[in-house]
Formats: sequence, structure tokens, C-alpha cells
Amino acid sequence: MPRAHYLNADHSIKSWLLTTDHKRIAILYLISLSVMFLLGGVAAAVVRLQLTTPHGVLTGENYNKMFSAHGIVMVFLFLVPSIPAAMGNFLVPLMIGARDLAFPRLNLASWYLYMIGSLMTLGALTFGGVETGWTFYTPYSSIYSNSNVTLAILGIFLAGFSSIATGINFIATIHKMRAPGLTWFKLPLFIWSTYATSVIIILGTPVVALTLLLVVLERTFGIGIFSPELGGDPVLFQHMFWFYSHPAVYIMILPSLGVINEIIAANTKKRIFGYTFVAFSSIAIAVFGFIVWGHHMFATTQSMYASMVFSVISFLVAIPSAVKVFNWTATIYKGSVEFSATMLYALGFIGLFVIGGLTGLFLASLATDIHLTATYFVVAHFHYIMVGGALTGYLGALHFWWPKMTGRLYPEFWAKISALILFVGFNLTFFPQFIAGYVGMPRRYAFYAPEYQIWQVLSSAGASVLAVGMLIPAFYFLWSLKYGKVAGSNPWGAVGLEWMTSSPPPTTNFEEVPVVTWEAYEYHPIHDDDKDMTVPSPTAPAVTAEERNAS
Amino acid sequence: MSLRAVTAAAASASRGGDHAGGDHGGVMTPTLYHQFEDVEQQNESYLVGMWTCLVQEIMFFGALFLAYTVYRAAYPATYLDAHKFLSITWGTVNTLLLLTSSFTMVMAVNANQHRKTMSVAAWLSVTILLSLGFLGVKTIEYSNKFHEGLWVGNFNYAQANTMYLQHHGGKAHHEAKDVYPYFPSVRELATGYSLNSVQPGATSTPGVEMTPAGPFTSYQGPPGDVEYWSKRAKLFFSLYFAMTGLHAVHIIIGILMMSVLIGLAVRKHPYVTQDYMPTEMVGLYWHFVDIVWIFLFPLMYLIS
Repeated sequence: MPRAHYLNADHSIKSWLLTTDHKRIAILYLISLSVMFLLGGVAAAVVRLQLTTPHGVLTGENYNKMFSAHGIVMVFLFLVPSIPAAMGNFLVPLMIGARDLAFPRLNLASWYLYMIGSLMTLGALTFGGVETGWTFYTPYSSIYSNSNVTLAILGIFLAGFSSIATGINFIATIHKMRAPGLTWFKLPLFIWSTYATSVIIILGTPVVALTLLLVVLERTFGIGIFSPELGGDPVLFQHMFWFYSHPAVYIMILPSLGVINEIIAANTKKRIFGYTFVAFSSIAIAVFGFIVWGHHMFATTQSMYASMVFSVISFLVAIPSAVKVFNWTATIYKGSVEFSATMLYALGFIGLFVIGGLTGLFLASLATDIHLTATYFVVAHFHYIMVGGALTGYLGALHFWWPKMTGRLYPEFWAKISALILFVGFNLTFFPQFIAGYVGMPRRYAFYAPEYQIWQVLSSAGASVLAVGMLIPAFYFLWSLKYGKVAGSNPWGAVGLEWMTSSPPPTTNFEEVPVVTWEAYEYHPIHDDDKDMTVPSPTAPAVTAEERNAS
Repeated sequence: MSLRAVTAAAASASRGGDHAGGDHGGVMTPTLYHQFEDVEQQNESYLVGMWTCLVQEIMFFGALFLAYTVYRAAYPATYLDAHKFLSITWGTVNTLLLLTSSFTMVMAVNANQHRKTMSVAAWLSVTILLSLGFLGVKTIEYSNKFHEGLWVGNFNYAQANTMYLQHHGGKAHHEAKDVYPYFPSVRELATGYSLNSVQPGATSTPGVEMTPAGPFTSYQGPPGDVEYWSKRAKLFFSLYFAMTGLHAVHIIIGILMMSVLIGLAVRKHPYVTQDYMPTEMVGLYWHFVDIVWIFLFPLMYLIS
């Protein structure tokens, strides 16, 4: 371990709460996100418990509150900030060779906004709860709901501006603070996807913030912009909500797609096949993401012709997504593949992402969507993307960069076990829901007809396996903080600027500003035994590609 | 002009000009934060960050403008009828106040680039005075709306129209005709005037909200249905208060930021004496707030 690094620079509580170091802020986010994930998970456990039997254990009202809490916490307080705020905060400056983000104080402010917003929302969910679902559709949320909605929405509003602050920081940093020689097409693909994510955050989040603010104004002052009584249109709320919330799915999945590139390149020791295509596919997903929102509203008063256009464009999203999957496959082909724990997470991700993506096509086509909309099929589809995709990517990222963040290795054996348990548990939880939805079980129902019970029991059983798969990493990560093997600056033999500094990095990230003369993922043809020879020394990172190839 | 050129211009100007803020003349030496390589990179990062923030603001207001557009397309006659309560005079005064304040803001940034620190404070103070004038006018307008019964909390469209008629009753008939036909209670006073010339026959079915002809026709629903018109007008005033209210909040934020800058200037803080980017950033924000009003004014006050 290096003698001085960002973790031991100062031990006081104050030095953590007032830090402007992007790495420390990332750790603050990591801790708060883990708490949010735990709370969202508890709500999910209660939901699964309720659905194990057709008559359940909760009243309908409490069940509504429970699945709303699960959705609100997981989407707004966990998944949206997860990879950008925790991993992105830590990695963006390291990957581009900068000493910090462009606006460190804004970065700290974003964490405080997130915390205040989260506490407000959690307060509303705990003391009273809301029954609107995470979508806050009017008029459920405006006329027919209890007053907790106002507090919950204001919390989400603040958390949204925390995301926006992070997005502004990333965009300015990636544009202006890249190390000398690090041109756009030499950037790691994680940076490309983080950039695309930031663009979505900047363009989408303000719209949902304003939309939710209008619901608050309607509840408090009677400003009835969505009120059907005044001639307002509740479907307009849905348009404005999904204008953000569909791209928000890409806020959740794009950073994970970026993470998978890094993991696959490091575990196959190859340049990502079709780098340029993969880079632009992230941008394409961000662009297409903004013009498909109407596919959430095929069963509303939306015009049939609008629905047809939205349907066609939704199909187009499959193209950049498939570009990524095919390029990963081509990268793995004839690579020196190492089945490490991180690679297992990446491979699991690809499988689940493909299932999630292909079932999305069923929902994007008008005829099948009319049958499947608002059933468990939809629930299964978006959990394959949000949990199978985004969460698996988050866990993969946590494993991949854990040695860089803490300077210590986690036990590889247990990490592999947990990756496998997670994969099995996940499929057991959500695959039965495809079938339940296909045979007609509606989502959000507290009580259901007995013929669906078999699928719900399978799902609940899978959820317990899934929970085990998530608890194991919690234990060994904490264990590794004290007892883990010292990692060294580059345990995976990966290339990338973040691996050229010590683990954990010093407060200023690099001893001197690196000058980049090599391409992204420039692995030279070597095998595991001379892995160490490719690792540039942390104090002299400016090794040219020729020098490294010659070694 | 590149940033280097601006710095050079500021340097050459300060040689012959006012040294009120500069302690030793020459070029500005802004505080360089540790994450940046040089001042140029720092300034460019600020600019990218601020413009990104403005894009975010455009989307924030954009959502409201979308709602405005959707309902204006659906209820054009309601908008035309309800907007008569907004005072074009006050609106014009406010437009002039804000446009002037944009000019004084430019002068503040210019003074800062030329290191005239006291001029920066003076121009910013004028900008604040103008924006306080704007807020004063808005307060008058809001309180008028409240007394007329047009605030959404005490909405009473019939009362508002009666008061309107009392004030404008003596006006020439042709002016009155432009306004009266749209509101049913007024229309009853001007009996015989057809609601619209397109479909004079299809006018008296309460409950019918829109003709199948689509939202862009001038026919707007049952003319005899006071409740219908009152509710649609309330929708218009919902938008009016949401949009101008949100804009006013942005004005207040701008005033707070300018006050901080004035404090820094008066205390000869290096953020103002050695750097002009803070003033420039507040300036960018202020121009954005101004531009929002440039859109709000015609969309709310000048409907025809």
C-alpha cells in the first residue's frame, strides 16, 4: 500500500463531510447508495412476501404503499445516481488524467442535495407512504392521493437537481480536462457512455423536475395544469413524465454498458472490437432514447399514428444495443479470456441484457403491447434491464474497481460464487413473471386469482436466492477492507490511466500529469505470466506504446 | 474573441484606464484552482459548465412552454378571452426594465474586464434596481389579479369580467366587440352578436367541449356555458402564474447572486479585481432570465 493516499489524508469526520475530493465524494455516495439499496430491497422483500399467496398478508392500501416505496427508492434514489454518482465520480478524473472534476464544490453540493432529497422522500414514504406508484400519474397523485405525495415529490425534485449538478460537472470535465494527447477517440468507452448519460441527465431531468413541481403546485395552490376538470389533460403529464423517464432507463443502463467494455477488455486482453461503433452507439442510444417515450402510452388516448411512429423508433433502439452486444462477442472471440469474477458479472450482464432487450421488442410493437401492457410481462422486462442490466453492471464495476478504491482485493472465490448465485436467483425471480404476464396477470395487484400462484411462488423463491447473492458481496467487501490482500496498482493487468496510479490513488490522483500517446485498450499480445511487465510504474506513467510493446 | 485576447484587451485597457480595483495594474491573475492546468483551461471549463447549466434551464422552462402550446392549440379562444385581463402597459414597462437591465449587466461585465471594480459594483446595483422594479410591477399585477378574482385560489371569472366591463364599458363599440364575444356573461349584454361567423348555428349545446373539426378552428365550445369558459380561463391563469412565478423566482436568484458580487467588489475581493469570470457567469444567467421574459411577454400579453 502507498504510504499516503486519499483515504488516509485526514481521518476526521469533518474532512469527509466537507471534502471536495472526487474520490471521497464517490465513497460518500457509495455508502448512501448502499443504504438506499438496502431499504429498497426490504420493500421488495415485503412485496414478494405478499405475492406468495393469492390473498397476501397486507391490506391493499399497504401493498400499494410498499411497491410504490420500492419503485421510488430504487429508481430515483438508487439506480439513477448509482453508477454515475459513485463510480463515475471516482473514475472520470482518473480515467482522463485530471486531478479532480471541474467543479469540486458543486460535486459536494450535489451529494448534500441528494441526501436532503432522499431524507425528505424517505420521510414521506415512512410516515404515511404514497400509493401512486413511482410514476406519480395524475390524477392519482393530484386529486385522489394523501398529502405525503408533496413531500415525496419535493425530495425527488432535489435528488434530480443533484443528478443535474453531477451531469454538468462530467460534461465540463470530459470536454476540457482530458490529459495532453488524450483525444476523444482514445478515451475509454466508460467515459463515452458517461458522457452520453450526462447529456440525457441535462436534457431530461429538468423536464420531469418541472412536471413533478406542477403536481406539487396543483396540490398546494390549485394550479391545475393537468386537471381534467379545467380542461387540462392528464395524458400530458404522462407525455412529460416519460419524456424524462424513458431516457432515465438509459441513464441507468448506459453507464453499465460502459463498465462492461472495461471489464471485457481487461479480461480478454484485447482492444474492444469496433471501438468507434461502440462509442457512437452510446450516443445513438442517448439520441433515440428521447424520441421513443410514447411507447409507454399505447393504451392511452395517444393518437394511433403517433403510436405507430413511436413503435418504429422504439425498434430502432435495438440497433445500437445490438451493436454493443455483437462487438463484445467479437472482442471475446479469440481473446485470452480469464473467467474472473468480474468477467462472470460481465457475461451474466450480456445474457440478461439480451433477454431484457428482446422482450422490449414485444412491448414496442403495437399489437402485442395491447395484450402485455400493465401485466407482469412489463415488470419482468424492465427488471431484466434495470436489475439484470444496470445492477449487475454496478456490481461488476464495484468488483472491478474495488482494488483501486480501497487498495485491497476481495476473495475471488466468493466473488465468483456470488456472481453465479446472483445470475441463478435473478432468472428464477423474473423469468416466471414473463409467463405470469403473458397468461394475463396484471401488475400492481395486491390480490390475484389462484392460477397465477405457481409463478409468484417461483418468483418469491428466486428473490430469496437473489438476496443471498447480494448479501455475500456485502460481507466480503467489508471483510476485505481489513483482511483483503494488498492489490497493487494494477491487479488485473489492465490498461487505462486509472491503473497507472497507486491503489488507493493519492489525493491529487497522479504524481505528474500523464501524457497519452497510446490508443484506448492497447493491450499488446502477452500472456498472464508477463502481465506485470506491461504495467507502467505509477510514478512514471508516461510510457509510450513502443516502450511497452518492446518490453 | 478568444480568452487570451480578452485578457490582453483588459491588460491594455487597464494601462491607460481606471485602476480603481487593480492593485498593481497589468494583467489579471485569477485564482487558479488545483484541478486546472492554467487559467485558460479554468475559464473554458467555467464557460462549458455554465452553458450546460443554461441548456438545463431551457429544458426546465421548455416543459412549461410545451404545456402552454398544447393548451393554446386546444383552446385558442379561451386564451384570447382570458389574456385581456393582463395589462399590456405593465407588461411593456417590465419588458423595458429587463432589457435595460441586460444592458447594464453587459456594462458590469465590461467594466470588470477593464478592471474598474467600483464601476462593476455601480452597474450591478443599477441592474438590481431595475430588477427590483420588475418585481414591483409583478407584485402590482399579481395583487390586481387577486382582487379581480383571477388568482387560482379564489378564481371567480364572472366577477373579473364584471369588473372589467365597469372599467372598459365606456370604450368605443369596436374595441368592446373584440373582447366581449368570447365570454358568455358579457355576450348576453351584447345580444345578437354571433359567437363566431364560421358555425353560427352550432353554438348552444352545453357539454360539448370541442368540435370534431380539430383544435385550430375558432369555434370553442358552448358559448352559453359560463362554467365551461370559467374553467378554461382558470387553466390559462394556472399557466400564467406558474410561468411568470417561476420566472420571478429566477429573477430573485439573480438578485441574490448580484448582491454577492457587489459585496465582493466593494471588498476588493480577487474574484472581481483579478478575475472577471464570476461576473461573466452571472451575466450569462441574467441574459437567460431576460430571454425567457422576451418569450413570456408576447405569449401571455400579446395574444391575437
